[in-house]
Amino acid sequence: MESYKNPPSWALRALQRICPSDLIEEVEGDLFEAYQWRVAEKGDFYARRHYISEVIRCLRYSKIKVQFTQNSSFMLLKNYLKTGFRFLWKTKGYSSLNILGLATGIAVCWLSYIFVSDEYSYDRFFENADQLYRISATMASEDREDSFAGSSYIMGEEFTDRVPGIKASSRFKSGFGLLKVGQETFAQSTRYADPSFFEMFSIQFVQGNAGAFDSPNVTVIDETTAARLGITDIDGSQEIELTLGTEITRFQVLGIFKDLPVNSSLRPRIILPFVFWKTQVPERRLTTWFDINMNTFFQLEKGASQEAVSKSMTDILLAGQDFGEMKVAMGLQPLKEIHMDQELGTGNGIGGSADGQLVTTVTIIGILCLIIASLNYSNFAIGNYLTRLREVAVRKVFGAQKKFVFQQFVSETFISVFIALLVSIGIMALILPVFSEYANKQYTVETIFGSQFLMGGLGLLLVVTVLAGVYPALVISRYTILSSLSGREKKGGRNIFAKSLVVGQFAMAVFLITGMLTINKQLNYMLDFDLGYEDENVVALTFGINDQNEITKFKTELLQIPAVEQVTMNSGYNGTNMNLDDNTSLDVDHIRVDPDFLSMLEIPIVKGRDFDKNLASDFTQSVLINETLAKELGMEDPVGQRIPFKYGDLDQPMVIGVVKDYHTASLHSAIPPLVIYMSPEYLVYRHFLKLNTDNPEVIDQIEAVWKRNFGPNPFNFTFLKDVNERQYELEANIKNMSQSGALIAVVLSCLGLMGVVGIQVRRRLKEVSIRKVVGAAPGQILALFSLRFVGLVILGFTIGIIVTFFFINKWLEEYVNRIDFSWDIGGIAVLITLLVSLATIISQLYKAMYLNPVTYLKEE
Amino acid sequence: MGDFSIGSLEETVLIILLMREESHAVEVAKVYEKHFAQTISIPAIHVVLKRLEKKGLVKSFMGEPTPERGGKRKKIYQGTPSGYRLVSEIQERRQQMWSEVPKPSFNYGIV
Repeated sequence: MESYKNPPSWALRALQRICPSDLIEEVEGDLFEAYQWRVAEKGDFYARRHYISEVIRCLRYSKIKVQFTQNSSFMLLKNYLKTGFRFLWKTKGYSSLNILGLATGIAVCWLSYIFVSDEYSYDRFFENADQLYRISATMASEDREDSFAGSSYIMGEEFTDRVPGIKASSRFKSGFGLLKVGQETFAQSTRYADPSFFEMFSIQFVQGNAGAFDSPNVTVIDETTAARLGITDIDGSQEIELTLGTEITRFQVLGIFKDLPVNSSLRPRIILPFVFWKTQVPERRLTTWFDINMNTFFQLEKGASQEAVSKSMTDILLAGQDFGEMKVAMGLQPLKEIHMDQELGTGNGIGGSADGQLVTTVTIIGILCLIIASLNYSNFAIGNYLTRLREVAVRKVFGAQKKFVFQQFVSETFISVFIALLVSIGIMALILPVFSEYANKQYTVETIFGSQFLMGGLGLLLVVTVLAGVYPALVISRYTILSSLSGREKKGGRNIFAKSLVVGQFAMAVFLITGMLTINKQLNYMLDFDLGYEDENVVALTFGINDQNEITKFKTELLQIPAVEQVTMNSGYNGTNMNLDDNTSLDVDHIRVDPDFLSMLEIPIVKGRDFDKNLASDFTQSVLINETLAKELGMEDPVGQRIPFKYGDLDQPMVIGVVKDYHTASLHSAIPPLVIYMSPEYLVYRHFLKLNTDNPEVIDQIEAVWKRNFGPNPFNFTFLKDVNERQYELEANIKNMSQSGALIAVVLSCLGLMGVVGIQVRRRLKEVSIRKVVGAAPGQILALFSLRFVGLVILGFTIGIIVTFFFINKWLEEYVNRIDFSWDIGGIAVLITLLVSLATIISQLYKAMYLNPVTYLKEE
Repeated sequence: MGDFSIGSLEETVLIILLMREESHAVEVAKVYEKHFAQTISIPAIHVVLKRLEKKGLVKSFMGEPTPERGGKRKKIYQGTPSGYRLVSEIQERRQQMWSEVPKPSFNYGIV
């Protein structure tokens, strides 16, 4: 036999890479043959040189348009898609159930993603967002540390001048006035800012501009306000009229700026210059270092260190004021963190911060629902694919490697996920209104198609395909030709997986249900909690009145309304501290009331007596305290004793009685020590009216009295009970969210169970038939199948309850007044899921229980 | 010249194919080198063959693997009737034109 010379192997390998797959056979052969011929004719060297240059020339083939032939990977993919769609169509029922389940999971997860990413997107759109900070401060004494965000007028002045690294600064503060729109006046909140504010926050003007913003009677307004006031063009003659305090002030409108986006912590409508604020306050407030009542924003130089600026601010502050024992440090909070930081808080012109718990709840629900839905899909898919083992075997006989089979099944999952994704958009549109309400957001359908729509969709597509598709594809591609052709299946491994899926799903479902029930119970507990006073049928008005004559007149007129039973006016709760004998101080709340306060709110007196309006000394030197304060002071019988309370005219007042502890604020906090007094020093602010009817006409009569007394000020009333209930809005939102989440999770878990049971039943129809022939009753068949699944479900419950117990207790610890995690909640959760899952199992077993053995036995 | 324009290398390769019943790329190269006394690269011939095939002037089929090709199958090309007609038409027209060139020509110094 003739021996052949081989061309350089690297060149051959290069050729195999370069050459299109449909040409390679011909080209490789031709070049090889030509090589032999040239070797024979002109020698090795010549032939090799030629061979190499011809390999390089093969690059030209890319210019030849080739038709796709059998073994191109595209062709294979087309085949996968085709079989995928056919299979989906063939198993319409199961597929649509499966895809619907997946779509629900995706929709829930997507919505949570929209919500969470929206919460995290706050304030990031400002051009200078990375350089913007606001001043915060920390005060620490021996046993406690308080951090707060806020600053004083002088800080903005001094720090800006003296601290290196600050490029620009603006103070920011909220104000309040009555805005005249047409002939009417409306309550309107305003903002004060310094001239550099507009540059720092890249405020865009559609009309005019802020100009110098350094004269007192100018303003800029946003488009919404401009539209409300009917201002379209700015030529210098436009003015707005604001009633601030008692004076009416006119401001010249310099410009109209674009409304700030919803995901902005600052959303000013009317901006007034700080120069104006300066004219309104006493000199003292401009020079006191720790008169914290505004926010100050700094734009730092690029590269300036946050720590260095904070340090230098602290130094300046400490040089300006002596704090004694108290350790005070200034700090900076990045603008981007304001929304998510609940510790430093918002206020003073900065909008509400995110509800951390709600964000966490939504994240957990989103992730759990996606996982449950993906696991469901896996479970369904494995069962379904087992009917296709022959197809896999045939593919393998024709040369498909494991890799190709894997690819095929993953691409089938991809198809399903893609369809599910489309369906989920519909589902999202359906549940969006409800979701927006629970999340306290104004989401519209456009929100779904927002900027992150494509990214989110693509991400979900990939994640779900991997989560749901990889395992079934792995399982199915591992079958050997022989075992798949013979129709025998490997038992062990897969079953364990399917079973653990069911266990996992039910654990998650029980977690969500128990969580939901606990939150529910906690909320009801707080709503039904006896606050210690009567808030039924009490209307609250809020308006500060200073003049004693006005107070009396208003009260008398209100009492003339027949439906108004009682009226009491108070200052609202304020805080101060009491210096005790042993040089420690005690934080106490105090409130100024009138003689009717305790009797109207039905607050019981434990010791001593109520205020007596006929006793002059009660108005000047007597106080009532609550049980907590008595205990804090260590007084067994405080009545008749003096306490070291000093506020306004009150100094060392006499305790005339002790009231039973009642909740002054929400149940989130404990009952504080409280002093109740009647001194006229403090202005009254809150007016409580006890009604003896719930007829809405009474409100009109009250409003008439209001109009007569307080003229243009808008009339705002609330029912005290509503105010109290609104404090638990967050809990109510979490409850609603978790309720929906739990419901969806249970439905999805049952879908999964249905899949597993259904597949088991279908596979064992012959066995069941034989059992029936031998004489098994339907009940026995039911027991045969359900026992093993009930076992799984119960295992899932146990795991779920243990996990829940841990998490829920953590959550409950945040409440001062809380319920205990009780086993009856767990019991109810288990019972609900058990019943639902039993119903699911039976629905699938129905077929097996009543089948006619002939149908399934005649085949062989 | 029919519906197709055809380049001179394409014409040459087509004529080589028409010389015998069937041939593959290497044989085309051998014949070419014999007649023109210059080398030609195999990929160049491949590109030409594919073009001709697309124009319907040649057809091809896969042959059997042989050891001198390193165990690869060869792709065998044949001229088609339309290929034959096209080439003969071109040759006829050339012949026609050539006959009108005066011989011997004094202009080109050939007597």
